[in-house]
Amino acid sequence: MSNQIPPAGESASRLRFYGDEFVFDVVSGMFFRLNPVASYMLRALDSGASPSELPHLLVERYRLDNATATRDAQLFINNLAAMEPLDRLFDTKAGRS
Amino acid sequence: MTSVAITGLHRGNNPQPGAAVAAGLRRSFPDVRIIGLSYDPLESGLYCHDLGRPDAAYLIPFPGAGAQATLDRLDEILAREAIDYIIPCLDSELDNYIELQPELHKRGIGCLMPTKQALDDRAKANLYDFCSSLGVPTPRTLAANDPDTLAALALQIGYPVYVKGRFYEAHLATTPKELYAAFDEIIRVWGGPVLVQEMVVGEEYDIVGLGDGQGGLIASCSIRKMLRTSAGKGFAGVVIADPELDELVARFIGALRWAGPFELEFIKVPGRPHALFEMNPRFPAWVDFPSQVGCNLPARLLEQLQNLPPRPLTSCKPGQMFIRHSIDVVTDIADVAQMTITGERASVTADGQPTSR
Repeated sequence: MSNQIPPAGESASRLRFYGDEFVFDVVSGMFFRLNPVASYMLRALDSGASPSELPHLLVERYRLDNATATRDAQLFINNLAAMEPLDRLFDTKAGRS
Repeated sequence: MTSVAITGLHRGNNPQPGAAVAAGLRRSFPDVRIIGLSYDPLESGLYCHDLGRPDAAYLIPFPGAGAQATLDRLDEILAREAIDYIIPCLDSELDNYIELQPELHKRGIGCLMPTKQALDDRAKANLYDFCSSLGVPTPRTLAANDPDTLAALALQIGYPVYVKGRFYEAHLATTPKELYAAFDEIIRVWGGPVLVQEMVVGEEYDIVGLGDGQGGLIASCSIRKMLRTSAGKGFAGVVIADPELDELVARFIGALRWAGPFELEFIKVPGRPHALFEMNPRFPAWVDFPSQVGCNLPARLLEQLQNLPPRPLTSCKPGQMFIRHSIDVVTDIADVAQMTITGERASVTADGQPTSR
């Protein structure tokens, strides 16, 4: 799965990544400073991963234990959903202009 | 030479659109002559030297003096100065200019105005009902001409509420005491009715556009306000591309069959659709931002007024942004004196030459 995550700046969706620490959402106009782990999870979701896959991706990439990875992924998803419903955020067709 | 009269020349902390419209016109029509119609000798745009400057300026009566007073003053100006087109840039002027359209036409002055019905439908006091009929979300808004009725309506909505004038000004009221104070201040300046509006907190989105009068949209640009002043004015904005917002704009402008410039102001609470809380019947003060990135709406309006073949407009690209930058305009008290005493002045370049003609 991690191999399918596009590097920074190559996403075709509504999200534009600038390096690993800044993302701009062309639909909402919101921009965020990210840490590298959050950036990794966001790019994973942006390239088609489901929220339930995030813990496994974190375990693979950062060698976290399963409980920590699950907690971190859930906190991240909660933060995202508070800003925008996930189905709207990751409907790539809606994001293309 | 084409001569265009514009209003709304003050660019203070609550900037008006006139100078931005003038700048946009000059970007596409370098020889255009800009006639500033001003309400106050201290309007800052009268004294600027950039693209937003008027080539000549005249004091005119406030809109509250009525359409005939406006026309009488225009006739005096026309004795001195040709005016081919007028672009009103302030909300409170539209009623007068819509009424004056036949008279302006007789004098050879062109303008593109919405119908009176469209102007009334989008008025703050009517916006809630009009949006409801279209299924366009909007904050609940009620109107009253006396403070006791307004306080009763605020209780229906629930505090805190915004207390708003029919053209300008909004105050947040968290208690009836604050509501009464806001009512007094607004009714004194703007008259009635005074509005009370549900407070909705979220990100603000603005759309500037041009309606064709047939239900279509000639062009538009959507931004998120990135910085807001204490009065809620956008001091920075970034272009967005949101199909859901575009659909709401098309539905609303289509139903109004709006002709001419407009600004739509939406607010978005996370997890809820965009809610339209205001429509301004003119270009916004930030209209020169899209003009600078290829979507020159004032120039497009002038092309339409002149029946010229329209030059293609570039879509504003998401991520393009502006940050407003205040500057000090230098002038001399003699310039203010001239405007105050005679009610008119011509702009000159740094070496004392007239700026056009």
